[in-house]
Amino acid sequence: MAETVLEMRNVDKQFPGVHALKNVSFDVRKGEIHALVGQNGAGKSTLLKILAGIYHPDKGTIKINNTEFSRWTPHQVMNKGISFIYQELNLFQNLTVSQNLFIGRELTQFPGLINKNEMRARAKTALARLDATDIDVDILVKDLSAAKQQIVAIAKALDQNPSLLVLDEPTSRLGLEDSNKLFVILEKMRNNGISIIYVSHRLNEIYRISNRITVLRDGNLIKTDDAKSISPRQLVQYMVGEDVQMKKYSRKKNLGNLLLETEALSGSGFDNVTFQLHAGEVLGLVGAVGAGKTEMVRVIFGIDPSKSGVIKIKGEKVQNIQPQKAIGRGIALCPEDRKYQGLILDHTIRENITLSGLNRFCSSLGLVNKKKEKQTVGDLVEKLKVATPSINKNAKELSGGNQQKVVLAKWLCTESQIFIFDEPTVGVDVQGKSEIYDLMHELANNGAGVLFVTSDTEEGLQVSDRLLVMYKGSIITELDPHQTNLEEASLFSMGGIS
Amino acid sequence: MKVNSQVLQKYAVFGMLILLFIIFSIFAKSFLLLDNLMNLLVQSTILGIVGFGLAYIMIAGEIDLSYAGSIPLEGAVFAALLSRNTSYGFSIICVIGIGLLISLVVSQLVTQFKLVSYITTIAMMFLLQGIWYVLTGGKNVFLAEEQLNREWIFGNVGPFPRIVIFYIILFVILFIISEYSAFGLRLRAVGTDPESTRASGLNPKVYKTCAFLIGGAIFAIGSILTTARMSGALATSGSNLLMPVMTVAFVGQTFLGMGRPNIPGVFLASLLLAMIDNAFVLMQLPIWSVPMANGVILISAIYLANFGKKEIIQIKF
Amino acid sequence: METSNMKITNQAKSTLAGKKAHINYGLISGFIVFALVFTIFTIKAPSFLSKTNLVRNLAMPASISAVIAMGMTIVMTGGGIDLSIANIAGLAGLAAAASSAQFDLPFPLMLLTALIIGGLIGAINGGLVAYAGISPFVVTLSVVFLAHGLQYLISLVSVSGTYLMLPRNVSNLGVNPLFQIGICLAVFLILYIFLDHSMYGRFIKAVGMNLNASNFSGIPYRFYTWLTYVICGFCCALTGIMLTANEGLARVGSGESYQIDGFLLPILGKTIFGRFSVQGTIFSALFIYMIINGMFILGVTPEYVKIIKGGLLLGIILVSGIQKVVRGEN
Repeated sequence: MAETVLEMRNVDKQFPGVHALKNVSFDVRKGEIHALVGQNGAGKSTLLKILAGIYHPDKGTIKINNTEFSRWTPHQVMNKGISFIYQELNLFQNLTVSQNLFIGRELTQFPGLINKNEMRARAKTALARLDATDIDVDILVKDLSAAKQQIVAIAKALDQNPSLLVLDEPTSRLGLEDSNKLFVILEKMRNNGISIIYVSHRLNEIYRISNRITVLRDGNLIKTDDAKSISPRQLVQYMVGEDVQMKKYSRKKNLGNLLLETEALSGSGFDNVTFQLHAGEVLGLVGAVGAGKTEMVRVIFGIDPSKSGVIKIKGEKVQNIQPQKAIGRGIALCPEDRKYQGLILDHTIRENITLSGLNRFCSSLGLVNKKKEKQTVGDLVEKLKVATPSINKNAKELSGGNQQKVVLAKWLCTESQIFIFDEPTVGVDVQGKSEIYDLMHELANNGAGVLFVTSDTEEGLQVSDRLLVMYKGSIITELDPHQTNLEEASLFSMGGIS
Repeated sequence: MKVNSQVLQKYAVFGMLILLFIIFSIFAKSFLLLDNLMNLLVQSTILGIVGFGLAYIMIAGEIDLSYAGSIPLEGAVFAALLSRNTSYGFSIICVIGIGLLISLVVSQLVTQFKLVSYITTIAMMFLLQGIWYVLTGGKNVFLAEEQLNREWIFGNVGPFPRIVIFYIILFVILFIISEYSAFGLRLRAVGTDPESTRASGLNPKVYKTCAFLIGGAIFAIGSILTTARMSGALATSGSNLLMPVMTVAFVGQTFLGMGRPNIPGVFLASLLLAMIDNAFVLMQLPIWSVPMANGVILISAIYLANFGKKEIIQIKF
Repeated sequence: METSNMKITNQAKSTLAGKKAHINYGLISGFIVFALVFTIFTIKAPSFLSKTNLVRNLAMPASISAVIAMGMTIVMTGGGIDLSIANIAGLAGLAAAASSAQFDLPFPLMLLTALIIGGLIGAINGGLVAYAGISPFVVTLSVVFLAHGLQYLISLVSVSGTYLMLPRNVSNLGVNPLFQIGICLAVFLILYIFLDHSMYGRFIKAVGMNLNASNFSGIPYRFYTWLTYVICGFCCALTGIMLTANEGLARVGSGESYQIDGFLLPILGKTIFGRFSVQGTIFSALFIYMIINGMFILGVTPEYVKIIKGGLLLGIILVSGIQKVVRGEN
């Protein structure tokens, strides 16, 4: 029996309204790379946060290197040799590489002054261990590329001699070459007896470096097995589950005018994207987190600037687009972060709904016609079935699904014809999800063009008339939902297997 | 002509200092005399010292405006103690103790109760001003010659007044701590990214508290020096310092391209303000022009330092 | 195994929590304390309830303070801060007095001069904050310097001596409580309608609550941020006139005592009413000035006023901080 460096037993965690982890038992052996996979909401990040001591489980114990804990703090976990490298990296952008490496455990000489030379030397050694001798230890971290920052973060963790390293989506900001360099480093670490938990959506990476794979789905641990014992198709099936009988939406027969078009649009995080959106269709855009979907959407709506390329709305080229302009031309965006971008939580439902289209409710002086407002908002709330006793309640008191409906209602108050939904069903229950899908199709049936962006391939397939797949910043294929199946689509969104 | 905004950001303010020095040397009679330059230095000392205190707190990511209330209060206490013939040593310890106590309270309000630092310290400033008013009746507390030996502080060692030597020593110590010690590094870390600091195993609350305490002690030293300088605790000592100290701390950030609160920046900014004050008097410009020049300097310095960054900064309550 | 029962319980729990939060404890306790203090003063100090006292010593000073505080309220609602309010008021009042003396202006033109100055400075403040992205702290701080200097300049140029006497009719107006209270009520009405019943007010509130979401909703957030400072400038100018007229003379540095009020009143209003609002600010003005008035009648000397205000502000911030922790926002 191989020696285990970590055992998590019977971990159970509930949040208001969702059972995040259901009796999960998970272990990591010494000297292995163990991939942890699952869709958004499967419970991966909850499990890791519990391991890190940030959340307390309702039930469950952990055993790190033969020491058992029934309650644990982040400090204890760190002391026991587990290091975490999150997507945000937690590096100090305005400090140098060597300062970042040693903050909290600085090398000092009397009387408390930093021994700069020794620290620089140790930093160089730490980086050399990762074959990264080209990184200058004296430059500020913010001046390093994403890949080099990644390496600095790993060097920092390594210098503390961890027995287990947890990496969360480490390649999300890395290109192909840098990712490969990272894998070489990880394999070297593994061969030196360090264990690694590797969280990723990318199939090819998972198969490249993992020894074992654990799949979570809806809070359950579905399977743990050697990587070579699970085929990619099986893996996807574990992640995604049985094909539940879900409502299919009828295919649009007559597409209307070209409402939105991009040509070779490039921006931060995506490159050379070209697509068309017509009136009367629901165009799906799927891809894993980090594929560049949201980045592209933000550029179309004018939140972020584009680097190059063309955006055309209803046939007209639009330059220097800003949100106000985009809205004026008929685009509506239900943003990815519905709570902090789509809504003003401390405002009432009513205030939120009329915010973007307020001038329609005002007299020429700018005074709000509260009666008309109440009427229109009331109608919308009823039509969209927003579950609330009053339109004067604060938006933050609504559930996720209802909040999403309020965001949509906001745009129904404007004269938009192009609706972009970015991850609209995250955190929404089954009932709410289907109501949102119905709404999207109703909009399309009434002549609007809907762009439905999601990282959940299954719902993308179920709801869209056409499906674009994005991977690492580019659209790699277009699929016909009626001609493909979930395995194929998921494979594409995870980059396929080369 | 495309001005490199990076270069502008970094060196504009320093350039301003040099430029003004040159202009004043030309247009202000007796500006360059040793006596006058020494006078200039002395003028900048108290401003600089209090500025060091504020800078430490800003390095840790917070702000403390209560000095405008604590300095007159502590000054009055100091003067009161001395006028009752208390020893220098004991009086100094008392005053520093009061300063530390005030800062302790502020630090706990900010770290434990998670209150926003500048609104809290503004409130504290008002409170302390009120306490001061009650204790002194709004009057100045003057000290006679026997009660306070000014020579000791303002007398010369060589060409330098003792206070200037003290100032420079304090500057060197604080500079070394903030830039070269582990503690200083951690303060900076806490100030820029408390989350990552926690992730690195350090407790941000501890470091912020330390910063407040250091600031409080330095403010107390400032109050002692102000009282000594004026031979008494003046009613206006606090309000006179409120804006200038903030100016040197903020403008100091922009010096030498640091882009963050720093000790040498405060030193140079204090020199800048004192220089303007001094030269304007020599050039016989009217008094009202000094605050105006200060205002213009502050705005231009910050604008140049932030050239190109257009994000709106909001205040949370 | 999760059952539908568990789901229902969870939903029910969150609805109950929602219902509880709706009872505004702050508002209820605010009114109760107000009534309590009012009663205590009435009982302990017979002269408290007299018309002269209530109108001249309570309502009038409260009105002057409320106007400047309402200006600050607008800025705070938009997410900003204005440290220069006292100086704008002083400058506007002084400039209006000086120009009226110089050019023999009738009162309405005096008022106009003040408003123009206030609006101009507000526009500068707002422009630097909203379009140059400089911290409102730094901007308004510099303006304090500038305004202070300008005040000196004006007083030197137009006056021999340290103060400027105002024409009879103006100072008569200034001590007339109807005038002062009238202006205050007018400002209140205008700003209330603006903030709570107009499109512009909605946008300003949105920008203050969530700049990001306002951008995603297509609101021109820079413009509205700028606007808040301009409105504040107007309010400060009005206060400057009210003060100057009340004192009968204009001097450098008038208005400085209202610095505290500019912070205290809006924040107290927010803590009691739950949001920044002009209603809250006026209520707080009445509250604070009632306390000061009552204490004064009871023999507490004016020195204690600052301690009371400072202590109250600190206490209120503490209370609202605790409120936040209890609600789990921190």
